[in-house]
Amino acid sequence: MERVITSENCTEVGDLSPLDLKLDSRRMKFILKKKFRHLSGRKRLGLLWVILDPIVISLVYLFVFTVLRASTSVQTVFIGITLFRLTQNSLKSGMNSIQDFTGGLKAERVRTRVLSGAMIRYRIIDNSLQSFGVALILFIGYDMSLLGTFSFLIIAQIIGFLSEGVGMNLAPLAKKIPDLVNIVNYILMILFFASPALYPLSSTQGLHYKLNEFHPFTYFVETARYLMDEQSEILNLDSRIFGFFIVILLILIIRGYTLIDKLRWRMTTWS
Amino acid sequence: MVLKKSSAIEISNFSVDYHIFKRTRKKPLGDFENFNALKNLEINIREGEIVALLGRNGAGKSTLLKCIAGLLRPSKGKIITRGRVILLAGADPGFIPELTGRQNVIELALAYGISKEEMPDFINSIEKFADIGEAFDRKFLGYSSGMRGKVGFGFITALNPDILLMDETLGVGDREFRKKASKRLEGFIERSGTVIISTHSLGLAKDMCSRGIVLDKGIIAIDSDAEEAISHYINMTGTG
Repeated sequence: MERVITSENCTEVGDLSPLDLKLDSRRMKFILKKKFRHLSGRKRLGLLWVILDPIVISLVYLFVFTVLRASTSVQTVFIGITLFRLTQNSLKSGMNSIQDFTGGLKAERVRTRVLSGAMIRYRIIDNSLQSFGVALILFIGYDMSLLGTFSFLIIAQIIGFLSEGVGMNLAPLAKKIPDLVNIVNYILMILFFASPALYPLSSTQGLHYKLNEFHPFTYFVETARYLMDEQSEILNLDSRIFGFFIVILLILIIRGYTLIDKLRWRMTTWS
Repeated sequence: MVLKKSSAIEISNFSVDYHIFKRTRKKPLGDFENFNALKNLEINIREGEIVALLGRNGAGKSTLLKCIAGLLRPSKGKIITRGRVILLAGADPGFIPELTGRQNVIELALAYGISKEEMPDFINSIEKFADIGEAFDRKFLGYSSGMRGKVGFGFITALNPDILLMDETLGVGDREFRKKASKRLEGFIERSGTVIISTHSLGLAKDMCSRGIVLDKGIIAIDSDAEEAISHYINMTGTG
């Protein structure tokens, strides 16, 4: 195996042998297991917390709304909060994507395809775990259609990946200017209350409604609510703006995964 | 006919800059400053060579090893390596604290390319070397740093690299362990094709290495046979 290391990248010459591919696959498994182990840690309920988290948060807000006597339905809150938390977690995970250069294997360089492969698998499993509990509650407890429940799971996957893509594009900037992490946290906090995560878009009006029309999350959450036969404004929203957001987000995720090797490589000497 | 040995590591016109965040009175919001850690290195290491990398603290030895291992980006130049490169820096190949010593060895062994057929011998070799008794089946979280070092060193030295990069590794453990470790290291070096040892131990450099490179403030002060390099290093540091 010949490796060429330059300021541009660190590449291996020639094709990977079946043995290399097998090793890469084992390493992906190792990294994935390590990530989930880190998540569960010494917690008694372990990974169950990933499923429980959106449910518990939704219940907390349902309680808050009951106290405030707001007329938001249980389903609306469950869908909104689960998708928003997925957006939040995936975005942060994307922003951290260039920090981990070795995947935990400290004695040998790990190919970027291993790290990217582990990242994609982790995202799929994390999206599924975070949305599965709520989907089950909605399907069993609130008579959601099978198609609606399935659509919710798909939208959860899409929103998870697209948010991670945005995060990956912000990652080099966050490494150079760590203040960005704080700023993003504040923005997410504002968006949590201002975007239709806790309530349907139809309950907003005037400038609040207008601003939400320019927030991509609105389109995904309202689509999920529509497909689950909930109160939704998706048919009244401009589909061209939705299309524009999808194109931009797709470009960002493709850019993120394509450039991850280069970005990660560039950041190794920044401290 | 004598076959000409090919290069295992080719380093040409190689420089490394670190970008370090600094806050000063003039720049209260801070800015990145460039620190030139390695400057225009030209090194060619042939297959099978054992090279001592000497130099004061901060001379650039660890930076150079990390670059050869593909873990650090150069700002200029090129490195070509041929074969599998393992960096032995400290004694942690990536242990997971929540697992036992044995579980860690199994999981990491698979990730470092040990086949299932080789696994029993691989585990035995580490267990025997680390010699930590029943603690091998206890969680890593409760290990002392010495115990971690023993398992870690045992693990990395059980691998089979083509190019081995060692960074001050014998600093871990007690006197007894160091003796045992240096014996195991000899076996490891014999198995590895090409070795670069970054060390302050001149005895180790003299005993094991055929060539010596002395780095000083990021440039090569001397690149010659081990004895000459060691004398140069002694003169340079005034430790004779």
